[in-house]
Amino acid sequence: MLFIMPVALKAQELQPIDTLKVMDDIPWEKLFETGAEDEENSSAVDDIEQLEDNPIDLNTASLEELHSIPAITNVIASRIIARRELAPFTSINELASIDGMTREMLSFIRLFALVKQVNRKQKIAGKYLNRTSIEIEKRKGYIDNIYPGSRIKNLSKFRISAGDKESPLTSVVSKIEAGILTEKDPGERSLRNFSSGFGCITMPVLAAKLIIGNYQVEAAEGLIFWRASAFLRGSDVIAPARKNGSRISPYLSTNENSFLQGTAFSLDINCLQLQMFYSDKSINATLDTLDQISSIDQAGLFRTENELSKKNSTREVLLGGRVIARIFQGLKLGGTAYRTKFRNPFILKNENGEAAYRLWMKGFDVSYTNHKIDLFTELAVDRSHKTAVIGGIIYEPTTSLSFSLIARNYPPGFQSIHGNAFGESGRRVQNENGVYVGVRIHTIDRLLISTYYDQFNYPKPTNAFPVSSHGNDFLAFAEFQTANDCDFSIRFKRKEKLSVVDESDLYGRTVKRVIPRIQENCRFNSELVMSASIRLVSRIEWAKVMYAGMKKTERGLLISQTIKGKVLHKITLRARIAVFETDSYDSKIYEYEDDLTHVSFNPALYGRGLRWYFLSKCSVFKNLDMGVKYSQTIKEGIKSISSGLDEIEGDTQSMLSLQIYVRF
Amino acid sequence: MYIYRKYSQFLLPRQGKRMFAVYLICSLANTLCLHSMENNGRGTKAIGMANAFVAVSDNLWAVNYNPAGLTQIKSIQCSAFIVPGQFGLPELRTTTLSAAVPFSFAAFALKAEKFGFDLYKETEIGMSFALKLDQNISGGLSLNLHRFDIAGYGNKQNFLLNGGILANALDNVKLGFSFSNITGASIGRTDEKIPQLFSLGASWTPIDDLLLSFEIEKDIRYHESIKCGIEQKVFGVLAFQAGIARNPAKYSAGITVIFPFFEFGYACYSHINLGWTHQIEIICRLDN
Repeated sequence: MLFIMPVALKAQELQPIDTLKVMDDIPWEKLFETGAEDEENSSAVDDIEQLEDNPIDLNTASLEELHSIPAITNVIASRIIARRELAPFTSINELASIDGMTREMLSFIRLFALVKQVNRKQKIAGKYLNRTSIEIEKRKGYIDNIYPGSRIKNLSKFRISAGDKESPLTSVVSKIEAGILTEKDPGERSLRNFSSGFGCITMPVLAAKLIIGNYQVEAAEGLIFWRASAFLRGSDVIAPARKNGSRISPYLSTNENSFLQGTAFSLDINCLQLQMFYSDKSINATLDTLDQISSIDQAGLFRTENELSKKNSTREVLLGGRVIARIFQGLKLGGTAYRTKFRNPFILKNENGEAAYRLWMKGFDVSYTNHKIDLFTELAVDRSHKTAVIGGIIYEPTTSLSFSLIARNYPPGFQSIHGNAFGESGRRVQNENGVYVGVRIHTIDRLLISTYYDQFNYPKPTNAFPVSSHGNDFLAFAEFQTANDCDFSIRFKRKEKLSVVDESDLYGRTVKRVIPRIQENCRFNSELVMSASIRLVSRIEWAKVMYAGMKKTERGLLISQTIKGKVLHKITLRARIAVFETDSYDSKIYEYEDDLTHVSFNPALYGRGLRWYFLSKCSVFKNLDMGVKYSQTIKEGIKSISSGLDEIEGDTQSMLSLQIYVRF
Repeated sequence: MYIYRKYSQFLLPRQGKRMFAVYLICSLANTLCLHSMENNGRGTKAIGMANAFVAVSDNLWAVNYNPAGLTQIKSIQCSAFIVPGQFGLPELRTTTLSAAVPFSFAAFALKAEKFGFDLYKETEIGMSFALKLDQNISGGLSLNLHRFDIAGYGNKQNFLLNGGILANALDNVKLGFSFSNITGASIGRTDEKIPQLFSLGASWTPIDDLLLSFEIEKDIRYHESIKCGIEQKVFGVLAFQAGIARNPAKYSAGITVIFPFFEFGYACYSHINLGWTHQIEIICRLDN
């Protein structure tokens, strides 16, 4: 959390708030609570980092910029704009009077927005981050000398910028920005196993922006283009439902495939925005015996011969563009298209299983936003002329009620290799249709109730799932905050989905059976503010997994206690002990953890055991932060952890991480 | 004791209970490295409330449940606690002595305990320290030296470190947390871990004389145990406790008679398979 400290301090300039409170007010967990990530969620955290570096000016920000603040919906953004047209904001506290503004939204705004640019005398700003982690216990791959590199995981990131909108460098160039990243995963040989970089020039004329190097594109609702990760469904049932992408941005994250490499250019001409991009990039992919691309690698681990064979195994050349027209206030039309060519034929996930060198996609999107309603839709057509569509409405009629409805239809065989749209299947934008409904009620001050229900279908059988399938997902969440910022919440989640299980028939043969799998999780969480420097977080979570028609029921329990403290105004301390017991991996429970700056870690705990960690971050000097984290998982009744080359002998898994973060 | 929970499903005939318990302790001790550190409770108030005491811990028996609670003690206290025979078995006798000294911002306590009989014996001495971290929160640690003696097999000592936190969450609501055997000390040739217990609970005082308590306790190796307790004071001189717990299923009751400088307490609990256990204590207070 240290990376938000400078912004927190800026927020303090506006309103004196205790630093610890400011840091802890960010409900990070709500951004990543869905539990899909069992590793560092660097891409989504990178977006937060971008917000930290470039806090949004509430008096000049566009609708899209305001919407990029977590928890802020387009409708709320529209109300902020309407309010500032009456009179510019002089303090962030004035936002509290805006209809529908929740405490959670305010906490994000305090961190990522300003009412005016604070004294930015320095023209050059930069930062350097280096994080090194090592797993204490050796895995089998190291003992057997199969992994060629050391156990160390290392990440280095350097970013520098000169000038900004308020103080341009020259009359032609207002800002120059550059960044470079190198990463080594455990077991990999080189510290530069993955490297990424970019240069970005912003020109005041026509608000033009040129990026050379690695970048990512976000377009509309993500049917055609979106980054690798997104804020997912969770207790915030309204804001994550709407993506509203309309930007190209430099890429400096660690996902080794989900970006474009080349040149991107954007231009604003009155109400028209043009974006053009060209990418020529190596891809890590699995090739079959015919040298066809059967899958694109997402793990980014290159240690063994098999893994190394995927590295840079093919190439993609992509040319695309996007046009956005703002016809009148609130109405936006957009069009997106690209053509791409692979060096090896790409096996399409459609009914024919055909392979193609060239793919293309095109689509358009329409949205209308005012201070009560946000209507949006996106439609995309792929190479096979299959059409995917997503549309929805966010309606906030009163200060206490918000409502979202999203319908989606991604046909079987639809091929979007750069998309990441709202849905159950994550990045696989195909073979799914469904309806999502979310309601948030904020009737009594300090009490927030939210719920969503998502009904989804997979109309066509796949190789992994032999019949058409369906399911639903329900969440109910209630949160109460006391006058002294103590927070109590209860969350119930139920998910029902068809599942394939193995059963023995009368003759002892293993047969596959498709039955509904129902998972229920109930979580109680309390966060107590004991003093200006001490907070206590207690959590109990129960999990239950049932298979309809079978007697098998699995249970899980997680109890944890966290203490957060601050000493000498410079050192933050976090410590947690969690005990867990689940019948198997199937009933695992995700335990969100505080981690080093720019890391979100959400490990899945299963089996029976104990996990604890200690985390300390220290502001050594004004511009230098250091952090250390030691964590340990001890499992009961097992002789080894994991399997294959990743097997660890014994019941203990420990990790030490160190980080240095310099800003100037 | 830990062993009774582990094997309670096998205990059926009441008359064979004594034989079984003694046999079990003696015959398995060398391989399982048994220990009595499972928290069956110390102090009649805590036991009367079914050991739902981690968020209460308002007397010197906090040393067993949550050492952070020692900061609630207002005067020097010393106590003698006796379980004449757990489940009616005189071999399973426990005697504990403890004393606590409070300071303005901290408290210090000592404890000595003996359990068992000639063939199997456990003794423990311990010291606890609690500190007020802030007006509404305390933290505490206990360091105990635990010794096992098994006739014919020798003895073994271990240091056990326990810690806890007690916080005034809201008006009249306290939240407590404790973790025993933090270092994961183990014993015996098979390195069997001495139980690591994680307890999290809340207590509520809706009116001055009424105390309600809830706790969830998890031994890392076993299913969680849920406990609820209640205490009602009458006329300022009597306090009645009652409690219920599951896994193992127990119910309990207790009474405390409060005199100006000392308290006398009695409590009993019933294990669903093993029957009743009675305990008594006397606490002396050196009030100002």
